[in-house]
Amino acid sequence: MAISVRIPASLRTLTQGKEEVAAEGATVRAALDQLDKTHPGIKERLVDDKGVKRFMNIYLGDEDIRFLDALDTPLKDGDSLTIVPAIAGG
Amino acid sequence: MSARVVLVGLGGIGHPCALALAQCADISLVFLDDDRVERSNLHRLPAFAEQHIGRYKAEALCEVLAPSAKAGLSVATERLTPETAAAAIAGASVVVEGSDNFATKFLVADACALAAVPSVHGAAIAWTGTALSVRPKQSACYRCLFEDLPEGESLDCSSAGIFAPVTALVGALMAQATRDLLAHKPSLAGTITRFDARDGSFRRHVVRRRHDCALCGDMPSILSIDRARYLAPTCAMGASP
Ligand SMILES: [Zn+2]
Repeated sequence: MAISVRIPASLRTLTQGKEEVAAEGATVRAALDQLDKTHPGIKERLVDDKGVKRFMNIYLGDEDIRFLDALDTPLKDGDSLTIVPAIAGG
Repeated sequence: MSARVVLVGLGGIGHPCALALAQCADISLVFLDDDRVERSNLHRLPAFAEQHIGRYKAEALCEVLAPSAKAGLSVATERLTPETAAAAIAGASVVVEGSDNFATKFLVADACALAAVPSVHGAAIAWTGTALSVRPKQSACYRCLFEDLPEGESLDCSSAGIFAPVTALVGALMAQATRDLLAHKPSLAGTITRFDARDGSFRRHVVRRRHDCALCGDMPSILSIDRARYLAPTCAMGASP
């Protein structure tokens, strides 16, 4: 499945400044594994051994994947993942 | 009696939010911030100028707004701490949190949930800003969205900088969210609004209440304010992105 992943400002150092990158995978987990190959280090910023990190959110479309099947959420072609980290600052 | 609105944090997002809310005749505003105006933040504090450098933000803002304000204004220049949080928000109709560090964000979220006070949380980094409003027990809370403080790293906020106009926009979103909460409108409570200045996009995600939320879930574990819960790296904002 070819999908797109929207990258937040705080992680764009890992995507050469790109706001959106392509990934492939049948599940969110597989897509993040593949993304980590093209953009090394990104996966460990998003997930730990318990799943999505507690100050991170990953949305499939408009839905938090925690309310779907978490990292096992299936993907289909054209899906869009959005990464939303907790941010401070102002 | 006018509604009491407590603004925690008068930096780049709290400042413009205060400018908007000060024009509301039906509220009394409390400015709570122990920070002072620095030259490096003047560009995102439009009501301030050279002569305010070194002054408490809360006091200087009250002074600048007083001649034209329709809202009642009062000032507190102490830091919000786990020990003072409950008293600081007591009697508030809404607490507006625009602080620059995670410890304060979670402290406000917890204190408001425990006291059943609605809250609005704003943040900005680089080209992105977010706003979330919370109606206790009815909508998702800040911890339904972000479970706990980031450990270790502070997500590059100090190095990412901030694009000043984004902070003004977040302040406007927060002011409107405050109005909606005060009016008991079927508002955007529980919805996070995100703005990205690079492509001008607004996105909204409905944040669902989590049954296992430590603050508002079925079996909450956060039942009081415990200082140890708010020990985390602070996030100072620096240059432009
Ligand atoms: Zn919650």
